[in-house]
Amino acid sequence: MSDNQLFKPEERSRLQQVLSGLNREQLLWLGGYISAAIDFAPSASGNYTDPIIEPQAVAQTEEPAAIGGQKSLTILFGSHSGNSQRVATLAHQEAERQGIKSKVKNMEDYNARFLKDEEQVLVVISTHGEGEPPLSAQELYEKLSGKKAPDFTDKPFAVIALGDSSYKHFCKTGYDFHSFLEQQGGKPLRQVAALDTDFDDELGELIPSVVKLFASAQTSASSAPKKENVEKIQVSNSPVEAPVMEKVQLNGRGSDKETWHLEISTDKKGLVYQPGDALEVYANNNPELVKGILRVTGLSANEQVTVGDRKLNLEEALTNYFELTIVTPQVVKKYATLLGNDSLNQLLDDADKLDEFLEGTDVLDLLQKYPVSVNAEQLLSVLRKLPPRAYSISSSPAEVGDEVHITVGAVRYEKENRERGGVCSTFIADRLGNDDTVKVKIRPNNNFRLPSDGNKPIIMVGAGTGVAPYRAFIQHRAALGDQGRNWLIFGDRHFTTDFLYQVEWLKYKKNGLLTRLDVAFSRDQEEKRYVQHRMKRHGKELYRWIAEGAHFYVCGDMKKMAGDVKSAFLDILQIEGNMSREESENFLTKLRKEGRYQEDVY
Amino acid sequence: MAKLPDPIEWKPSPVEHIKIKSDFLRGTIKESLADETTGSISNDDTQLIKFHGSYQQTDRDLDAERKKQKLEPLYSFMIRARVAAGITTADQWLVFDRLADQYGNGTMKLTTRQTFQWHGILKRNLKKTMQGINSTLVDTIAACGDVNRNVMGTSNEALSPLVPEVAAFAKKISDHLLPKTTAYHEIWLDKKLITEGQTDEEPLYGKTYLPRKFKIALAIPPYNDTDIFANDIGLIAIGEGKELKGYNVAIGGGMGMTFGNEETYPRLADIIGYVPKEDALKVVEEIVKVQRDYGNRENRKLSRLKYTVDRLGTEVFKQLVEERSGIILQPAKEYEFKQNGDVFGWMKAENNKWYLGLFVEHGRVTDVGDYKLKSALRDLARIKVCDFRLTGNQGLVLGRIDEPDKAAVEKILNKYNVYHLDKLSGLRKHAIACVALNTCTLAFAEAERYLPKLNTKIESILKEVDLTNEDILIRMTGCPNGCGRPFLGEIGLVGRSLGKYNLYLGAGFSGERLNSLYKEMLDEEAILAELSEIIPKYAEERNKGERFGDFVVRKGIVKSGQTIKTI
Repeated sequence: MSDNQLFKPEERSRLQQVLSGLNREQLLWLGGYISAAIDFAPSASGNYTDPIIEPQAVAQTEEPAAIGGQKSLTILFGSHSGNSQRVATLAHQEAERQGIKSKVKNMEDYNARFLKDEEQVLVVISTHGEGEPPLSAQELYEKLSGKKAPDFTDKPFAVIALGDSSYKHFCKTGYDFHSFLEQQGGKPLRQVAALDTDFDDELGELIPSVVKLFASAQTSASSAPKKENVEKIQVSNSPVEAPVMEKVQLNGRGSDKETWHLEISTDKKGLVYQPGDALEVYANNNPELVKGILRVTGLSANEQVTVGDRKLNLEEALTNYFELTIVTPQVVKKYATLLGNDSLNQLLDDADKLDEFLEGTDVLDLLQKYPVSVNAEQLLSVLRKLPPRAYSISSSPAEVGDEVHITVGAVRYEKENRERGGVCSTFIADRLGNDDTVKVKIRPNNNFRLPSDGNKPIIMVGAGTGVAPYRAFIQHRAALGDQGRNWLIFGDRHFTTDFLYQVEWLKYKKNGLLTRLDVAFSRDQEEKRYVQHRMKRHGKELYRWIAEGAHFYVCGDMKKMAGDVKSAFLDILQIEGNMSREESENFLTKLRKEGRYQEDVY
Repeated sequence: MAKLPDPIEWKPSPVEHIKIKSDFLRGTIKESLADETTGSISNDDTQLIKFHGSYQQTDRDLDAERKKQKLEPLYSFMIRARVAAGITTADQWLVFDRLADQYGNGTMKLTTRQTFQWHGILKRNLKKTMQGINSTLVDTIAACGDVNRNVMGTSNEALSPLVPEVAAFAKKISDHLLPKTTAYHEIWLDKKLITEGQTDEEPLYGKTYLPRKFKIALAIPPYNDTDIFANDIGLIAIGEGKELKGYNVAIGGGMGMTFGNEETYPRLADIIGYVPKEDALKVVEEIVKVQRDYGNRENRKLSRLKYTVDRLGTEVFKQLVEERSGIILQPAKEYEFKQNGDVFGWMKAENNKWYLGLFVEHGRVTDVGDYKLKSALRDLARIKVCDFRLTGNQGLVLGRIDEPDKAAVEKILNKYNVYHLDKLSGLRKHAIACVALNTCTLAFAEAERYLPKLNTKIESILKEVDLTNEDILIRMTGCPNGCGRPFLGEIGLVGRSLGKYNLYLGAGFSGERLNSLYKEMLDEEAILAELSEIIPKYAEERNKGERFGDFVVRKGIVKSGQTIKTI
């Protein structure tokens, strides 16, 4: 496909118009920007091989026109001291010289999932200490060595390994990568090229010969497209059991918070979602709590009961089908009828007292404080069905493919000398393991959506797990190559431990996708500092964004944060927009109507 | 006389470019400090901040874990003070001690170059810590970076009547070679010392400063407790009776090397002559300037003065210094060094004041269990009966104590169970270990956190052969860069990878002979196995009074390392 086919005539002329006006520095910068953008662009359609910039306009950064159907080469390096990076760069230059389109990628920033989309791969990797990969390559190393290694069938590859032969495990990491890729079906073009510390002399011959292997692989490898085994996906909205692929605690050591990142496979599960949606998770109850209830009531775990049309034993029923951690007024009312005395009725008559009583109270408390003799059927008749808990999804399918990610803050507290926890968050934290399956369902949320126009700027304000949907937003905009500016204002308690997804935000900031990143950590200094303070500090800028059509998002705590953010927003409208109080409120109402002020609060 | 060589035009290394465009060491440090989204500073600024006395580090124990957690490494900063000859007052100590608790990791490291290091300081506390240090009239300028670093000098006045004058000269050199940029005051102290339109000047260094770090040490025979031959410039004080006359000048020492790079090596300084004390500063300055003009600016691994000296030849280097300074060096004077370790215990100086040489294991000022060194020193500083003198061996001397106050000092030390020397082996007393893991970015292996445990095991070998009280120099570093001067250890252990060390043997006891590589990549078991062979042999076959390092060389267990020479 030539660039004539790739671009519409008007696109082409616009591009040329822009590019011809730029100086060399600007073009160089743009070159870097575009190659970063390519990394995020979907590689799905067509051969995206032609340079989009007129060669004569940018002679220095031009990529050679690839021969039709030629496979591109990805050079992956994992470096500690920079040697592997240097070798990778040399290989890149050599590939260009031999007319092979190639790109150099640092393993540190490389997602293992991309491997299945590569055409051929040259790995340049050093070995450390006792045969360990450099830190920058550790994540990829683990992914490739694990069960979830991506498919690499029939893809040509070679490995250049750097090491120090005075160590026992000379170049071990290089050999490991070689066997990982081979195990995933890769076609090695040669044995591992193991380089010792004084490798400089060897490079002159080695690099051209290795690169040449990739050049010849172009012609010999079968060019027939692989038969895609496309399976029709069933889309429905009933809960499905989906496997957990990854579970990570996001808070660093010493944090007083506990936030979990969960990656769940949606492969063939019919879980279709878009950024802004939530994932409903069906938890089960803490076995200790169930045991406590059985003990207090004296009921037998094995007693057979009926739930809906299911027959099962009482323990299973309590564990999987009934809400035990929360007591609602409705439950109290029903329970009061079993009790046969007035003590609970008094409580039910006083709404304030009832609220106070219910705060942090679970079914075990109720049974202990108002003991009654019940049978299994009676007990279950009082209880509420265990509803799923919904978590804002923190991924975009455009970026993560067949996965859905959520970000869950574990709720734990102590009351009356007993440790308690939120049913679902502690289920995820304590009882759900890697490779377990979990029952989930998508809950669409049309009130929290990216602007349909990818060029619109967005401002995202989130505290704690409230940052989750923004990760989905940014992934989405990155994957689609949306040009709208993005501003994230994030808050949590401590910078060193609670900056959720910090590395990702910094990466987005560095590559320009996040135009602005502002943070507020409430407990790192004397005075409390929250997201609304950061909004106000940059009020002028924030107002300018709004005036330029930005969409504004708030996600996080409903009780406190949503209100604080709203009043900060109104203040900014008044101060920077010269609005009266009433005008600012009308303006906000108008923004809400237009979907430009959206909240996802809980 | 043959024409002396001209300076070489080097193709500047990346760090040289950073220096050039830094506007006299400003770079973007201010902007980096203001960025709240990362605990780190920009790459270029990590080079520049060294000149301000700080290194960016990470908690390496947590690197892998935090990467999984999608958190950046736990960045923090080390701050190093500049304290010529290591002498501080009780008031200064109190502030330093507080800063360690308030902003650092709760401890201080007394370094092998007689100064203080604070570790674990988060970026947001960096400026406050700097201001705290400066409030005591101590600063951190040029404590790291490609400039002259902290100048060392024997600090225990009980060792020689020359100490006050030599220490004062160390301070004079330090001040004289200080960078003149006002960037430090601007960035850390909020003081704008130049007005709009003015620019800084560096008459001595120029805007690229030196090719690499530069170290100067002074020593007073017979004590080489500052290991002067491991320095770019070593000055040996020559006196007559109680009067200081001048210095023998040694050039081209340095410990650092890179494994696998044959072009790099540790080297002891060559003595190039004697200079009367009046001319000493000028000679020192000229040596610095020759290195400035001739040192390698292309490859930082080869840019220390020792490589310049070897490239030009010691004689040629000397001639360059003489020609450019107009001072002709006299032949070196007689002197004798007997040891490079510290002298411990109570000693009385000529001034009738008392000095107490204190053991501080690897220079770490901390409270561990019942042994509460940090608390003891804090209490001592509070009652103001002594000053605090750091030694070149990570040790501490409590100085200028009046006779009647000795009891109070003893009482406080006893109260906090600070070690009594009679309980320490000769091995432990002299052991040196660098910081290494978990904060040093260069370390391949443990040092400070591990050597005490290894020493306990070596002590049982020594005990078997009744050598517990024998003074033996053991030194361990986590990498071959040499902060702990490992190549001057009679037993030198240099980290290769986690748990694995190269074992070097046979350095001289007074710092005048390097050790030699004995075996590579030994783990603890192998180290102990080797020493279990050699130490009993030493006990049995040594000559009277023969040092361990001399013994292993005489016996051919290792070949002799480089010894110092006088030209």
